[in-house]
Amino acid sequence: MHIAVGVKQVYDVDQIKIDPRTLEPVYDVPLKLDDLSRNALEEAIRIKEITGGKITVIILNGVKIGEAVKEALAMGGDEAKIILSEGGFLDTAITASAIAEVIKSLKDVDLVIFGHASVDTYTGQTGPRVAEILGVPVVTQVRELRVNDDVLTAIRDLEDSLEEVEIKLPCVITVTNEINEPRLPSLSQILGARKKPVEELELSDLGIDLERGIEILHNRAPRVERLKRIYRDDTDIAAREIISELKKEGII
Amino acid sequence: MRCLVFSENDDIAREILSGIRELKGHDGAVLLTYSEEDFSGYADTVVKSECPDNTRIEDHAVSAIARLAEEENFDLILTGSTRRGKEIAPRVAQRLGYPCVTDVIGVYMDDSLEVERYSLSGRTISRERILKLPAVLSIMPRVFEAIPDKETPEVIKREFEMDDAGVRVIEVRRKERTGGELEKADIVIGVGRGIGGEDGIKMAMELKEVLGGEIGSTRPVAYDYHWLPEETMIGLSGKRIKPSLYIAIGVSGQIQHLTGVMNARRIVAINKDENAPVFEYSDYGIVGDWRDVLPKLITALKNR
Ligand SMILES: Cc1cc2nc3c(=O)[nH]c(=O)nc-3n(C[C@H](O)[C@H](O)[C@H](O)COP(=O)(O)OP(=O)(O)OC[C@H]3O[C@@H](n4cnc5c(N)ncnc54)[C@H](O)[C@@H]3O)c2cc1C
Repeated sequence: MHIAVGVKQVYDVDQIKIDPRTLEPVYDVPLKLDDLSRNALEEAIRIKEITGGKITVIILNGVKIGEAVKEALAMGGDEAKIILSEGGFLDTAITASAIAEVIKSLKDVDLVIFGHASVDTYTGQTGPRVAEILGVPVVTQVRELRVNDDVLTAIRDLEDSLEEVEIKLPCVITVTNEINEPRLPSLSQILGARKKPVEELELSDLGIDLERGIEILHNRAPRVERLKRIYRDDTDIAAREIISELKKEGII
Repeated sequence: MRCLVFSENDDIAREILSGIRELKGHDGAVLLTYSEEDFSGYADTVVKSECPDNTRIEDHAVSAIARLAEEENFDLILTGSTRRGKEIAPRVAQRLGYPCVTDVIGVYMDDSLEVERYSLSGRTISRERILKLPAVLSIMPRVFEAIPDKETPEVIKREFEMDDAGVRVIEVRRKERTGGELEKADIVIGVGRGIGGEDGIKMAMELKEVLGGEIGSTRPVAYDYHWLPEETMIGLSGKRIKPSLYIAIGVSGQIQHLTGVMNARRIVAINKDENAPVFEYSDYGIVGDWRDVLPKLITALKNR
């Protein structure tokens, strides 16, 4: 089985600070392999452990790609295709077209796995769009996946129900954060990753339409207007005062 | 602005239909639905269809929406930003060659169409301009309020042909429910990993007894330890709630959880770590062990 996994490199959102004056995020934090991308990759590795085959990692980002690809290959990717762009915002239609182009060029991909969204932008569009471009079935929000020959059985995690479906290969799957616990690569895997083939492609060479349909005007934190009355010492007083305040406000 | 609306969730469908009425140049809306509900007051046309057995709603809705969009020129196609809706919106957009924005929390029409959505796991709000119409948007629940107007819809029953989607539904199981609907509760008590297990949950339930409301949870509580059903999880991949009061007990306050409670009117946090990020987002906080604090809160409530 040839599995392609679309992964993303993101800023560590937990570490990003907000500039109190402009309310804009300050991006002087490390880049990392996206959490949900790691779930996607982990699922691919588990399938490959059963079926055998190959895992191709596809990543599209600005110029600074490094650690994310190394980590993906150390975890268990067999090769990587890096799509280089000049940075800046790409809308998901462009991202999806680029990834689909690479998948088509690989010719024999049976299964494509993505995270159902990425922790930074959380659009959730890439997987479904890639499936439409390739003209193959897609199933999103998968939290359990089994492979039997050329049919997959997936359990989807929806708001109020679990939906079990069968999907014919080739297809696209997007996984949830709950599907697995991604492995941490060992030292020898980290060293071994250096020898795995990595191909760099230029976004502008892929022959896709690069016209954007969306423009980001600004991205700012909402003002957190909380009272922040924190009681650090006497919990008796704290409990009484808080209940009395909430009562005064008509909340309880 | 002519709109086509779909959501498998009737409440969200009504909210979207109400919200888009206020957009500049609004020129009526068509609703596609699988529901038996009557949408009088919400759309000028209601297209009722049925999703065949063993077919996923997503696969049928994508075909149906694409067909309707070929027959009539819509400026905007809107779905609910539920998990199903978030698959449908980008697929429709890709099929028709339209731009798409998901998880929209605000829609503004002036010279051009602008939308707002959360970014960075909910830490920021990104304002985006749609550079070409038609476009597809998926709208978060309760962005708009459902208010009926005067429309008496023309109801059309339709079947849509669809290609083999390659996906077959085997079974749909409803998730276990603990109580009422978290999204509609006025008071929510949220428990985190710090609650420690059964004993803590029991005490949180006691608090709920005297206070009313519903119990929510964080990811470790719902998915890792299963102290509470999964459907109680609040946050980025769980529910987003808007109560008057949210009480976070043993919750550290990672953004992926807090993004689900940002719209609460008041937030109270109980955490033994005074540096827990949750205090930054709280109106009232008590630094302490819940074993000490909860009985005191319960007593204070009983004496109120
Ligand atoms: C893509 C993605 C999506 C996610 N989606 C969600 C989501 O939807 N919802 C969600 O909740 N999480 C989500 N998470 C996980 C999230 O990042 C956090 O890991 C999670 O919210 C932490 O839960 P917690 O606060 O219960 O646990 P912890 O972070 O472990 O915090 C426990 C807290 O309890 C306190 N504590 C311990 N003992 C006591 C005591 N006796 N008394 C008082 N306080 C005590 C500790 O000081 C600590 O602050 C997501 C993560 C990712 C990567």
